[in-house]
Amino acid sequence: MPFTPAQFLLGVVLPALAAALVLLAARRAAGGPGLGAALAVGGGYVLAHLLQRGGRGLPPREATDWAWVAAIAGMLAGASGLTRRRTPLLPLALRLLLSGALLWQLLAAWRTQAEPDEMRSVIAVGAAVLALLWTVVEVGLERPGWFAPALLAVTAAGAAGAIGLSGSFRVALLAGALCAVLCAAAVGSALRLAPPTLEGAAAPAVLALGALLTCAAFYSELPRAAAFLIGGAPVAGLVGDALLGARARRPAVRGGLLLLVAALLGLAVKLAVDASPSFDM
Amino acid sequence: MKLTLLALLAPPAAVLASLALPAAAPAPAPAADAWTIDPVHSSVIYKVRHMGVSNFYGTFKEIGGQISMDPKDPSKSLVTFTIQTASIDSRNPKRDQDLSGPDFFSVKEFPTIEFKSTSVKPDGQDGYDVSGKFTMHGVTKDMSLKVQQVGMADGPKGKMAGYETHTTLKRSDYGMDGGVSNGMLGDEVEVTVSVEVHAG
Repeated sequence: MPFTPAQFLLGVVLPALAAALVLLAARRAAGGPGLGAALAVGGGYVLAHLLQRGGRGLPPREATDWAWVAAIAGMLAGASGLTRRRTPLLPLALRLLLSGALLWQLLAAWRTQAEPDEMRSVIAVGAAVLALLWTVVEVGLERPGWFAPALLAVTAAGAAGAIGLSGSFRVALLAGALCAVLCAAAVGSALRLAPPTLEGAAAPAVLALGALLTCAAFYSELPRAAAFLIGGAPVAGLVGDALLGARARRPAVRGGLLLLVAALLGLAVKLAVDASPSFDM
Repeated sequence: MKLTLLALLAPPAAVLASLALPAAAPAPAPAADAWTIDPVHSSVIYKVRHMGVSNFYGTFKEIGGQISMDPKDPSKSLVTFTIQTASIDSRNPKRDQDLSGPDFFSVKEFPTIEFKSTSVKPDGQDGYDVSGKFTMHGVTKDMSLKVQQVGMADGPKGKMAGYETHTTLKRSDYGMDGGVSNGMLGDEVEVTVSVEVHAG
């Protein structure tokens, strides 16, 4: 289902501009590390979600609408800095707790049909994967520069494509809005118009993306393998970036890492296409 | 000949006494007061405007439910039906995938559309005014249906009857507004539910 120019401007461009303005203000204003990034990315996504779909009440009735609640939770977590404490136990527990709680809510309808063992396994594994993604992305965003936010933006774009091909244009458009907000962060970083590091953006970005992928995998037809590939793509890029150290700053190396991420996302899109019925009428 | 569902479900003698039906009535009232929807001979058809220029018709292939009548107190009568949302059929697999997903019915989240009556009143020739709670996409609203009896007969497996109702609903009232704002699909959907029921 195509969207109108007005929907695109209101639901995608406006939130990205809002995120850019928040980042610009955060660069000039005093604040804890991550506060501006958390507000920009989390607030930008929430704005996009509400402009696209409306509030639809609390607690959300539909799983998709938990994505904006997840972004708010992520925004609070990112702004508080609780997951960036030196002691490893509290950050790990908080990431697992929030990830598990989000999946528990998202899968409320699925849980009623699943076997108890399967339900426990899916939520435990899903929470662990989401917490791992959160950790890797947060560490990546602690390093200055455009690379980590750009990887996340590319990942959100890949998610939008795969989800759109799997039976939900509206969830895809939400992923597109997340991509636009993350693009604003990447461009802001590249032009030095954003705070030097954007670690506060990790929680809202990962929780919102995780919510959208979970909805697409369980309530639409996105293959779960594709969802894992999309979640794994930024991990591959960021881990590669960390392992390569100073060499990773060479444009050719960064380009190669981006290509690796794009290849993983392309594979996810191919899986989505293969699993989807033909467009032939 | 007026033959209410209430009367049809009462014992024959009571029916004749209360409604003074002619003895040659083609379908004597069954003794049972419970009727079950026969999904094989029942239909659910929807009609929705496509891009403002044409009407598209589709179906749900699976419906079930029961009618239970209290001859002495019609207000205690009960009509229930359940439509399996995953049975939606628009004659195109890709479109069915879209209709089944979160943009529309989200069939894995909301696997059924349900109607449960709260009152049943006779209304004209072989008609009934059935009010109740209609639940779709997780939203429950009051709904009033004009139900018409199509026919009644002795079938190979006992008494059988047919009923049909037409209604129009706004899907955005149920939080299902995919395609509305961009004009791809109409908000109003006309629905026809035609059921065959069997006694017992």
